Amino acid sequence: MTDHRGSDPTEREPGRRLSRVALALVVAGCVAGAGAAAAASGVLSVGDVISAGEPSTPPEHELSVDETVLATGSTPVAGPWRMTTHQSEQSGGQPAGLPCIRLVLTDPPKGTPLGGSGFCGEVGQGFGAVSLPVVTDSGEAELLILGQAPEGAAAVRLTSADGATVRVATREGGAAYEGGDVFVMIVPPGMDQGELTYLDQDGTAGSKSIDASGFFDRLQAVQKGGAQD
Amino acid sequence: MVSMRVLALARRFAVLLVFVTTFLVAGHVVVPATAHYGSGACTSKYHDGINRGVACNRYAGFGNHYANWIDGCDRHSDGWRVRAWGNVVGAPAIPGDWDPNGNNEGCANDQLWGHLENHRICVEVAGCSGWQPHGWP
Repeated sequence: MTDHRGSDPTEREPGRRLSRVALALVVAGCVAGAGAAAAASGVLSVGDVISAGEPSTPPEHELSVDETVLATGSTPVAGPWRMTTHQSEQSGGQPAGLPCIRLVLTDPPKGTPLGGSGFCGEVGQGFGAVSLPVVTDSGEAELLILGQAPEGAAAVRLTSADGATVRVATREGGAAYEGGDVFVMIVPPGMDQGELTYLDQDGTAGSKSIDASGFFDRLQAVQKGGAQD
Repeated sequence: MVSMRVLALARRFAVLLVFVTTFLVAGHVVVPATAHYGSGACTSKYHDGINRGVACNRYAGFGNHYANWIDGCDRHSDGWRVRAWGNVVGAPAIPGDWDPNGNNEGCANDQLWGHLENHRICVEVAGCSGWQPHGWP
C-alpha cells in the first residue's frame, strides 16, 4: 500500500506515541483536577473519600485524617449537609484512631454558631446520638440529630410526649464505619421534647432509648445565645 | 517536510501540555495554604477528688485563621452527663453536646465558627470547670 504522504510509516511512530502520552496526561489531569475540584466544591457522593488535608467546603471542615462520606442531604434552614466517618484526631481528651462520625454543614446559614457535630468512640449497645442545632440571623432554627444505631436496625424513631413521631431509615456504615449503622434525622418544627429509639426490621423497638431533651435544650440555648449549665 | 511535521507535533504537544497543567493546577487553585493541625489546652472538672470530665480543643490553622473543635469527654462512671462549652470571640458561649458514650474512650466533638477564645467542661451535679484559654501556639 502506498503512503500518499510519501513518508515511511515507521516515521510516524514517535509522533503517535507522543500523542498517546499527551492524551493519557490530559485524561489523568482531568481526573485529578475534577476530583480535587469536586472535593473542594462539596460535590461528593456516598462512599467518596476526602483525603487527609484535602480542601473542604468550607475549609474549616478540613481534617488531618481521611474521611469517608456516609450520607449527604439538604434541609430548609441548615442547607446542604454531609455525614462522614473518620478516625479520631488526637487531643488531650481522646486518643487517635477511634471510630468517629460527624455531620457538617457545607454551606452554613449566616449566623449559625456551629459548623458541625459528631462523636468518637464506642457507644453503649451500639446506640448513641448527638445534635446539631442550627439558627440563622433571621431567627429561623432547625435541629438535626445524628448517631449510630445497632447493625441491622432498620430505623430510628423520635417520639414526643404528645405522641407525635418522626422516623428515619438507618444507613449502612459499611466497611468505613465499624461502629454499625448510622442515621441523620431532621426534627420537624413543633417538636420540642422526645425520646429516640431504634427499630428492627419488623418495627419492634430496641432495648435502649435516648432521652432527646438534651438536644432540644441545646437548640434553645443556641437560640437564646447561650445559657449556663 | 519531516521537520514541518515535527514542528506541528511539538505545537500540538505544547497545547496539550497547557491543558494538562491547567487541570492539575485547577484542583489546587481553590486550596488555601496548607493547614497545620494541633491540639490546644484542656481543662478538667474534679469532684470529690475524682476527674469527672475534661474539655480540650483541636485546631486547624490556615495562616492566622483557625478552625476550632472542642471535645467534651466524660471521665468517670457516675451517671452524670458531661459537655463542653466554647466561647467564640464576639459571640455568646455555645454548649457542646453531651458525651454520648459515657466514660468510654472518645468524646462529643463540636466545631465552632469563629475564633475560639476559651472553653470549659460542665458536669451534671458537679458543676463546671473554669474557662480555659485555647492554648494555641
